[in-house]
Amino acid sequence: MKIGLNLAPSQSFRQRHLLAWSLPLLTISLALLIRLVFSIQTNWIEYRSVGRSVLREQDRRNELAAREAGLKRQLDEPANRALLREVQFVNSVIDQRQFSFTEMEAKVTALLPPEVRVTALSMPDSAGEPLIHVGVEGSSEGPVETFLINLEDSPDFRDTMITGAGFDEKGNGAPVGISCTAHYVTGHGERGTAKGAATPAESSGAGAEEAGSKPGSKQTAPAKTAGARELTTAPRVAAGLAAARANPGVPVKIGTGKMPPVQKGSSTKPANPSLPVAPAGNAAGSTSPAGPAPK
Amino acid sequence: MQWKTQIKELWTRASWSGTAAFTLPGVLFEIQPDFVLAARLAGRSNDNGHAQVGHVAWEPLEPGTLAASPGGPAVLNSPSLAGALAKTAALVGNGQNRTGLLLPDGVARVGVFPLESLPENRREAATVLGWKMRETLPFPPEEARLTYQIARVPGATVSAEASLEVIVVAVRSSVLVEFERLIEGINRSSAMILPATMALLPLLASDIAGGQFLLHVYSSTATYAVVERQRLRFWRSRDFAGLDLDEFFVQVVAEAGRVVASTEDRLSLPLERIWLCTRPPATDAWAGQLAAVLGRQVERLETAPEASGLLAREDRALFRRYGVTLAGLAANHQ
Repeated sequence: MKIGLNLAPSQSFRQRHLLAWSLPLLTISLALLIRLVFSIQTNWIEYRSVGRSVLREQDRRNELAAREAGLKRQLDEPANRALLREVQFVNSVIDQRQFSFTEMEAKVTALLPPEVRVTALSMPDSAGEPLIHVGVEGSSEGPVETFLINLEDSPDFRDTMITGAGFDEKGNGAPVGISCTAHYVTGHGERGTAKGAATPAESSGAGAEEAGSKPGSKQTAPAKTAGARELTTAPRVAAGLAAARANPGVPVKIGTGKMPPVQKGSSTKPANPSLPVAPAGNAAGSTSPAGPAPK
Repeated sequence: MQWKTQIKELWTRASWSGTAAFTLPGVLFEIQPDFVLAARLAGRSNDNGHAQVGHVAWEPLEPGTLAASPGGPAVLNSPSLAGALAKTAALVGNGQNRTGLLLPDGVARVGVFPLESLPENRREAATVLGWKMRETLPFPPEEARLTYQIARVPGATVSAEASLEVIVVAVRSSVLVEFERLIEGINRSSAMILPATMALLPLLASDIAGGQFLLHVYSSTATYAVVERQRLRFWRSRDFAGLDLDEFFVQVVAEAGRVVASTEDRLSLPLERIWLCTRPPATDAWAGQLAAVLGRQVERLETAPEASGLLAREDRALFRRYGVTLAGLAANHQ
């Protein structure tokens, strides 16, 4: 008798298909695993590369920081400290080379006594040490002389020259007018070389900022005391005015030791050939200065 | 609460799994109250197409290890039984992990039912057969795991009142789970489970028109079966535990006489051949006494020599003493 009985449970769906599906699933899983391993390897290599780049940048940054610290230490040494101040001074001078007409006008105005007014102010060329032409008029000769003294003593101007003058011959109080030229040394050019302004060496004790500070309205006041002015500037101004009175139309430079001789009558020929003489037609208020040629 | 009932029914329907068809696994275990037998089948068959036994191992069990009752629990000394299984499994070698299991006949209930028809759906058929078996089961039919085999009644037409005859084997699920867990304990799974005497039926002659009577005696159990060609006409299994050997023999023979008389009288089936299978083999005196009681010639049901062609000499002796069930399964695989 053939037996077809069996009490064992039949295989479930999972058991029947487990073997059939196991191989494809295993293959797919293996492929995914290999892909994952390669992905991990690639990412690891990239991570190492980026890490090395970061380390290189950090090393470079540290190196630059060390160099900066070394340079700072070098600059802090006494020998280099003077150099630093000079550099700062040069930088401040460069800053001062920025010319301002308004500032120049304010400085001229500050030199005016109350009885004197400006009738003309011009500057034909601002290059180099600009030469300005100033025309003033006063109620008497005294205030005009005071203006000239102030102008001559001002650290912002030098080489004052009287180019024309008009005086009350009868002394009835008519206005006195003069025209003069002067080099404006603050806006451009070397500062204070003619008037003994502070040099870098002199200003080193006062500090770089003080040495580099631009002489403003406070410095427009005469640098010398009144007593000293009488001994130095005032006689020269008086002499200059006298020479201008004596030789109308002849430029007279104030401050030079030799004044043109006082002559009777007018003459266009300067008494002293060494004095700078304005060319013909270069009267006061002319746009062609006698100063340095413009660049 | 109608939806709960519906969900429960759906879950029961989805989780229901029928029993498998007969298959011959590579490794077989027979568990009886007093021994464990293990065998590994060879990969190749003999000239007759029968599977051949490659290795065989036998291990005795302590008394009280197993209780062959249908209600369970069946395994009373699990460590001892598991140790015997592991030992025999190691002796026969690690073959396939799917194994066959022969159980004591006492844990199973076998019924033969004539039916007009049977539902095609196996679950519905199992329900019908469970209901048919309810009077013979000492537990609710829902707790039984059923396997059945349909035999057509010779000469009966389809319109006849009972054209089908269904052999049903039922074992309580909890009892089967006990044995399956033991098998899982040795890293195997059960692919075939049968009562031990069922494995002997393929050894009966298939060319006899009349009936054949089989008496299978082992341990303290005696199983009586009557077979008519491909039909199982009668099945009874009795446990004679507690009797001494002489009394046990007397009781077995007396019961055999009653079965033969009842079969020929009630089933009108003349028994042409009487088979005796005892494990270990019975003495000639015992077989002669049975023949005398029954008044017929008694033949010994023994292992076919070709099934043990691959065994070593010592294994062949063991196979002859206990391996007739293995030989029956091998013959059924043809």
